[in-house]
Amino acid sequence: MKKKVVSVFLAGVMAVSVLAGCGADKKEAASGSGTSKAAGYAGDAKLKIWGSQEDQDMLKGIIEDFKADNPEAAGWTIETAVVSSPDAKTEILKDPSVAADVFEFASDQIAELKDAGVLYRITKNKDEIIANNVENSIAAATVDGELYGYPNTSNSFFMYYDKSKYTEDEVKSLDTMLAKDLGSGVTNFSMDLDNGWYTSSFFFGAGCTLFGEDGSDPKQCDFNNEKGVLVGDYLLDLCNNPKVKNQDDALLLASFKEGKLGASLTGTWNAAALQESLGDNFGVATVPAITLEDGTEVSPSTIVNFNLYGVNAQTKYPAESMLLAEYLSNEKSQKVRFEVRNSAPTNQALAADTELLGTSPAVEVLSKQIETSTVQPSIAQIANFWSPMEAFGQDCIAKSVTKDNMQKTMDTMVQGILSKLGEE
Amino acid sequence: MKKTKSMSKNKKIRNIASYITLTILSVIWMIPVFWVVMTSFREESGSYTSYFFPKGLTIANYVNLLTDNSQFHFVKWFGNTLFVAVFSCLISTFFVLSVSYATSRMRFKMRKPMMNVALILGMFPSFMSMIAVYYILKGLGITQSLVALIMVYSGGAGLSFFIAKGFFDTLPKSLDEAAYLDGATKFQIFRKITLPMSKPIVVYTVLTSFMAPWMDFIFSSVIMGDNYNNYTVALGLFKMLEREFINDYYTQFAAGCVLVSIPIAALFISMQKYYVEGVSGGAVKG
Amino acid sequence: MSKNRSKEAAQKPREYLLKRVIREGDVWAKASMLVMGIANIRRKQIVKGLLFLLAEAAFIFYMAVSGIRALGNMVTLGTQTQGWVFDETLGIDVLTEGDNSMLLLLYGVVCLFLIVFFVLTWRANLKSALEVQALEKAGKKVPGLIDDVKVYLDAKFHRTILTFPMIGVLAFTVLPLVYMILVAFTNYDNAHQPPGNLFTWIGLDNFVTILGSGSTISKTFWPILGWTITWAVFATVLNYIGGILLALLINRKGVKFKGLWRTIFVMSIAIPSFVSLLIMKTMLQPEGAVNVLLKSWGVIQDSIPFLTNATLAKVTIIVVNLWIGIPYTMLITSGILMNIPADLYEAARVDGANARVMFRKITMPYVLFVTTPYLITQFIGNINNFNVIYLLSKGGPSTLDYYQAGKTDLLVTWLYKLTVTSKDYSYASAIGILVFVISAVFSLITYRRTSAYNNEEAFQ
Repeated sequence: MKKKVVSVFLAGVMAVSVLAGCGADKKEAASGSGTSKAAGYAGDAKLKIWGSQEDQDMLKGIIEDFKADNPEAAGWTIETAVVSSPDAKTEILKDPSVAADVFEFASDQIAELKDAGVLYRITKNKDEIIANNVENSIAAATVDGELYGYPNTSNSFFMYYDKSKYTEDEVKSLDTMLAKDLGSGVTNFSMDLDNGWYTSSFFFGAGCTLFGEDGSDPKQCDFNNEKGVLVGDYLLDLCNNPKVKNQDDALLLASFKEGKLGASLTGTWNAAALQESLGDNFGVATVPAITLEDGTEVSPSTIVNFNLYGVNAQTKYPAESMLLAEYLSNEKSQKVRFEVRNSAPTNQALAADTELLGTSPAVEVLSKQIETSTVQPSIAQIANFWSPMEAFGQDCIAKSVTKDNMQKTMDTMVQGILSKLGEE
Repeated sequence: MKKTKSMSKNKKIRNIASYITLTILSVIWMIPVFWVVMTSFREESGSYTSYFFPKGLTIANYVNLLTDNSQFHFVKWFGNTLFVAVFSCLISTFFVLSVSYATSRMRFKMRKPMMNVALILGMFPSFMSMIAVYYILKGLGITQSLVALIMVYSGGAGLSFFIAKGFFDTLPKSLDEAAYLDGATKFQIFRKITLPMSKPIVVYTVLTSFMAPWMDFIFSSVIMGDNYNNYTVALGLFKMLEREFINDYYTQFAAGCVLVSIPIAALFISMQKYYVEGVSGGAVKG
Repeated sequence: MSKNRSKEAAQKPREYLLKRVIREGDVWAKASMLVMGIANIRRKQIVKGLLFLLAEAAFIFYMAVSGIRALGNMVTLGTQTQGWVFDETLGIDVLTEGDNSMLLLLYGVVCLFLIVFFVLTWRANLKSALEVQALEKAGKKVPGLIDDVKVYLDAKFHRTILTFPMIGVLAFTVLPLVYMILVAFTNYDNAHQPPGNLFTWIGLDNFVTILGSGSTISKTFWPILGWTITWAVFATVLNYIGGILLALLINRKGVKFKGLWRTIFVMSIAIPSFVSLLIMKTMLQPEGAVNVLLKSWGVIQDSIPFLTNATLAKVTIIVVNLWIGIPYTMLITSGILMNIPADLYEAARVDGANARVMFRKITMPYVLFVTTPYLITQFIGNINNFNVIYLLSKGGPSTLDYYQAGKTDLLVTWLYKLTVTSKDYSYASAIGILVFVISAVFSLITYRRTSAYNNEEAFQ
């Protein structure tokens, strides 16, 4: 009996603390109580920012600048914690009440975050933010006509090539590149063939659309139209071409290093490593044009997504958080980020500053390419896009797809992209 | 005479065949181990090379792993994991022994139902409920702490008592009965008779529960969230394989794997004898 | 066995406790129904009585403060959606907190647990009241606190040693599990994420959708279930057979350095599987070490797609699992083989049995007797074997036929993906329950048939 009594007590203590703990949260978070009633800011706000581990030092520096530029923030306590932008969704949805006040997230998460009610709508200085950043980035930060994120960096991919293997002219067309004989053991071209982030660029280039013209209709995708099927055929040819290899980042880095690769598609994050291993032969270019079977020339339109800063809906200091988020994504901070981390800025002034961007060839080519890029749709259905694209790529590599059943395969793929879990 | 000779010859052939099979199998078994050790000393970075043997050997991977804390706090995480492993294995062992002893040696009303329930509970995928576990820990006010991890790893330990119970089932009951007739209490029997005979199963339980924290990366990532300092080794090593790091850190990852494996493997191999006895319910007339 | 059962049955109360209290109990015992512990206090068991009373007070306090509300909320799972009000002076929205269905459900479950505990305590209180009454009536000394404690080291020792493990299991396994089971009957999916949305009870809809609607999810469920079972059977049986053969090989009379051989194989258990699986994954890639080695030997021209071809990936995973699993079975069975009582063989030899008969009649039954629970746990463990699949192939290669899953995904890895990437908790929970049903049906049938269960004392 004693056992039972004891267990009741322990369970009771536990339960009461569970309830007390969460009951308290509810009240505190209720109405942004920290922000003082007037339009001013609290003098002792406590804020937390999330950023990736590599950004930690840079973030601390930006916070120093922030405090120096904003006297009202001098007394704030701002701490940083490690959650990188791809992980932000998982972390904040797990428990928004202890999540960061200001956090960086990838733009494909925005619809889910907004729907789950964890993102603050941005109303303050909205026009300025819209005016300061490139149009694409604002589109990606907007859900249902409202702004939910502060654009920070843009992210896409382009082509790296070995200048000892290709000339500047040759890298304009993939077909020219593939026709060249680079010698035995050398791969002409490689890319992540089973990753929709890369392969989708050929579909977009051929005029296919994902989720309608403006990327907001979860019932629309025409990757299986006539052009789409031709693109599918082209990708299948790439998979079957012995001069082409399916390589992810780790592999392409290794191949470039050994001098066994002519060109490959990847993003700015590999710029430093490749510059080191290729040395003088380091070359960057936009994704080359391809020629479909019916003779149409297609210049690929790469998918672009953005890293945005968001403000946690449950923050105790909404006004303060917004001030900080705005600062973290302003021209000055983006410039720091470009210099330290080689990130492509979304700020209009920086993106137009060719002299500045010229210091990083990778970012320069990326910024140039963004003009023709396709903004990654930000509706929740995008979460369903990657897995069918990956499956298509893997089926091509495994040669279980042929040109004869391409139409059927593309139909299945589109069906997969548009499907909902509980629906037929 | 002739017959025995051919028999012994036959035996010899069979022995040689055994040795050959064992050698081949051993080589297969050791290749991954050999490869990871070799990679941890590889001079060239990256996860793939187009050759099997490294071009240069270095201990820089180990040195960097242990001293360079700019990205990965390996030493700290190693310490965390050790701490969690020691405590969770103490608690787990206590729990497992308690439950298995009770179910094996005592007869009480709820015994069979309890065993059935335990069997049933073990069949649900455990991480299904991790979000609820997280909020229970939050209610207790200990999320993001190492204590929380200890509780998660050892809290449910009481359920995995079947092997230990099997062990106790094989211990002769007559000793208990004799002692009971001499007026010993059940507690005394447990402490003075059963426990001393249970070294193998204690070792087995200690080993299995000690190893768990080194492998889990799911619960630790849910519980630790943004608290980078309290990561465990498995979670940290997993991070090294992310896109941004894999190229620069793969050889360090291999070094980390070796460093994690050494103490566990050493412990395991030195305790092997008891482990075997424990797990096979061995003390029977052994 | 039958002896046990009758003994255990004899301990059951012949009559409902409440009836007994009403019929036999005196005023104090009856009063204990309302004021817990009063009978104990009356009979000088002050501490025990006060503990009962305190438990009652705490429970009533809890119910009044939040328990009743928690139960009500559990029924509705919240009514108030989170809202925003635009504040002109601040120039920003201000949050009006709504109900969080997920937390409301959790509090409801906690409340149910507390009620069950309370009822148990209340029953204990009544039982104790009757006990002290009977003792007093018989003129015996009512046990004091110290006597009570002593009983817990002897006759009720099982309670003492079971308390803490039970609390641990209840808090960290049962409670979360009940919560998760309940989630399967709600629409807590991607479109109903708290705190921005409420979710609600939808009965068995999730199960209907998964099992028989012809929807995307059910078209994925059945093939994955098929592979899950195939995998579990192969992984378990091959490991078991391989392990026994290896044990027999090492334990052959002519083989020397038994310890050395065993240690070599044991390395694969001693190295955390987390490490070895990630390493193997790299080694088995098209450009990985295995292919590099085979190519440099000239065995193959093109890389073998170990993990990228669907069929080959399945075989590869089972084979890699052998690397981990065989030594484990080898250890277990070689211990058992050494421990088979020699007199059993002696007797058989006298009866003229040859080696094969002895293996069949003595070795195998003995090994099976000891390892059946192990075999069953292995099978269940393999159905739920998250690590091998997730670390080795992540479920890949993916396929257009499945929804968010690959050809080597097991039900567990698939439901992990559903929870982590798409946050479809309700479907994941329903799948979890289905996994459980499969395992439970299988293992209860087999386990009840084994001698280990029915004949616990055979070798004691």
